[in-house]
Parts: sequence; structure tokens; C-alpha cells
Amino acid sequence: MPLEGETVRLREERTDDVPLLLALRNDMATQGWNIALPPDYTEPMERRRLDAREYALERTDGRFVIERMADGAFVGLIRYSELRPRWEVTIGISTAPAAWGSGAAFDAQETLLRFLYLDLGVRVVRLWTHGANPHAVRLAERSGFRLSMRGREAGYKTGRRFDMILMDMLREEWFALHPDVADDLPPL
Amino acid sequence: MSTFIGRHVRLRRPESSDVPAVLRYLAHPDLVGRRNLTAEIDEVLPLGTGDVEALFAAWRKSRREPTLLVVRREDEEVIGHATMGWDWDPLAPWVSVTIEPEQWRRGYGSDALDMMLAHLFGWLPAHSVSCWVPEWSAEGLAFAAAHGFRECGRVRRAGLRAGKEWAYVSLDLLRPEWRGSREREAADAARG
Repeated sequence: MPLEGETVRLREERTDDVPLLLALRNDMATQGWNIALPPDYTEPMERRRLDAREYALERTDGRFVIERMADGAFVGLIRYSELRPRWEVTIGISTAPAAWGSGAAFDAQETLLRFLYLDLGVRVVRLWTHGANPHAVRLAERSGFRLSMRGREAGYKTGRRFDMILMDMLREEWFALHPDVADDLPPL
Repeated sequence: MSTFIGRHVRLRRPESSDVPAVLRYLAHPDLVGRRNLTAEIDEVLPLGTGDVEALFAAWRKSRREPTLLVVRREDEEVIGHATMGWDWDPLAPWVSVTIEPEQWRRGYGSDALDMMLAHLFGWLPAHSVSCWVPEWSAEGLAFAAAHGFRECGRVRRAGLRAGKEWAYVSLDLLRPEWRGSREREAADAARG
């Protein structure tokens, strides 16, 4: 059974998703970090990236398509990376503009966090965003993330400098926000 | 001109013959947890020759994250390593300096950091240079502050040390701040 929230599910990427993943990648509003520019990715490039993922039992990353359960519509992509097993992980999310404001991003984020804390047993989850993306900061805060670090003028986008922002949420902070779940891992 | 020859030390690329010297200083107990090794070489466990050889191999491959050895000019002894990285964005590179503890407080680390900053601000379009120092490293925090770095946050639960969790202190230095400090140093020097 895939990871399911209240209105979205997180599932593996499929070949049919390629055009939609490409649209996210080539849209300046959703493409993510400037390191991935320019927005000229092609379908063959995206297919090769998908095909290049190897099966492995030691995984330090995961990529999930966010799919709306009601109609199977593609909402976006959520991923985790830099997993240090049972310790820390970093997440990132990108949703199609049509889904903004629908609550889908929050549901996807909450669903992934539940998996990370309850199934991967991490002690802290981190995410990077930047000062030119207040929506991402608000989305993170809504799940309980706190500002960890603000790198002054460390980024540049659309003609302006901005701060790089790192946010984090400790394991016990997540459980405090979800009293419906008991933490069976003893504190450090 | 870009130079990696400072007052007390010079910075140069590692050579295979440096493996024993690097292994020697990395084994120092006071460097446990703060070896600043960019490859997947452990920061805590005892290291062997194979680990340092693997480290050198990783260092050789990192074009945008060069590691240079810190070599004392008076006797050419290898006493540490210094890394700068712009793999994410040359606008915002990072630096780290590791000096053998027996050689602390002699100006060697400052020399190395000054040379790296001169390279990053003088030869790359860096605007903000960062460093991350464990909060338990009083020496590291004092060193960063002495060079004008300012705290910009704490990365909680970065690791465990003897059973106690700790955070990284993130610090940064902007180009105008670095330039200002250089101008002040030059003015002080001119005044004698």
C-alpha cells in the first residue's frame, strides 16, 4: 500500500508521469534551485533520469509523485534525501501551480513526515528553502518546522539576492504535535 | 595574483607521499569529530592508511571542492588541510580549516583561512562565505569570530558526542565585510 494521507497518496514515479515531471522542472515557478537551471529539460532527459534509478537495499533517498486520491490527478513531487539512517533526513516538495492553495502540499508533507518519523525512525527532519519563497516557509511552519539557519544573501533569483533558509523539526516536536501517536523510540 | 603562499604556511595539493603525515595528524584525539573530511571517511573512528588513500582519491575528484594541505614553510611539514567548496553555488561557497592541535594558536590556521578567503573573494564571484563549526568546538568558534564570521543559526541535533547531542553553529562572512576588514588592516599597517 502506498503512503496515503487524507486527500493525497505518495507513490512511485512512472513513465506516464514524465511529461508532468518535466512541466514542473521547466517552470521557473516550480523548478526548485537555480543549480538545476536552465529550464530546457527534454522528455528523453527526464526518462533517462527515471530509468537511471537503481534498485538497492541501502537507500538514502526517496522520490514520490503526489497523486490526488479522488481522481488520480498528478499534484507534484515530494522527496527525501541525505538520509543518515535513524538520525536525520532532508525533504523537498514541488507542486503544480494548479494545486496551490488546495491543501495537497500540506497533506503530502504530513504524510511523508509520518513515514520518516514512524517508519524510518529519524531523530530530525530538515528542509532547505529561501527568503524569496515565503509560501514554502509557511508550509514548513504549518507542519511544525522551525528556523534553524538563515544564510545571509547566499542566494540569487529573479534579479534579487535572498537568504538561504534551513529549517528543522526534532522528533519529539513532531510527536508533541501528533498526540494520537506514541513514540516507542526512547529519547537519546 | 592569486597566491597560496602565506606568512607561515603555504597551501598545496596533496601528493601520495603525504598519506603518512595526514594519517598522523588526523589520529590526534583532539580532532575527533572535527576532522572536516569531505569524503565518506569517518570523523570519529580510528583511521588507517587505506582511509587516507581513499580520502586523497576523493579529494582529487572534487574540482569544485578542492582540499589543499597546509604546509609549514619553515620545514615543509604537513600540519593540516583546508577545504573550500562552491559545488552548490559559487555565490555562496564554504570553507573549513583543520590544523594539528599541537600547532594551534601559531597563526597557521589564520594564514590558511586568509588565503582561501582571498581566493574566494578575489577569484570567484563569492558574495557570502560560510562555515559550520560544532558548538562544542570553542577553538573553532573563536577562530571564526576572529576572522569576522557572524553566527547565522544553529543546526540542531547535528550529531552525538559522548552521548550528548550537539548542534552545528552556522556562520557567514559577506564580501563587503571581508573587504572592510582588509581595508582596516591595511590602514592599521600603514599607521604602523
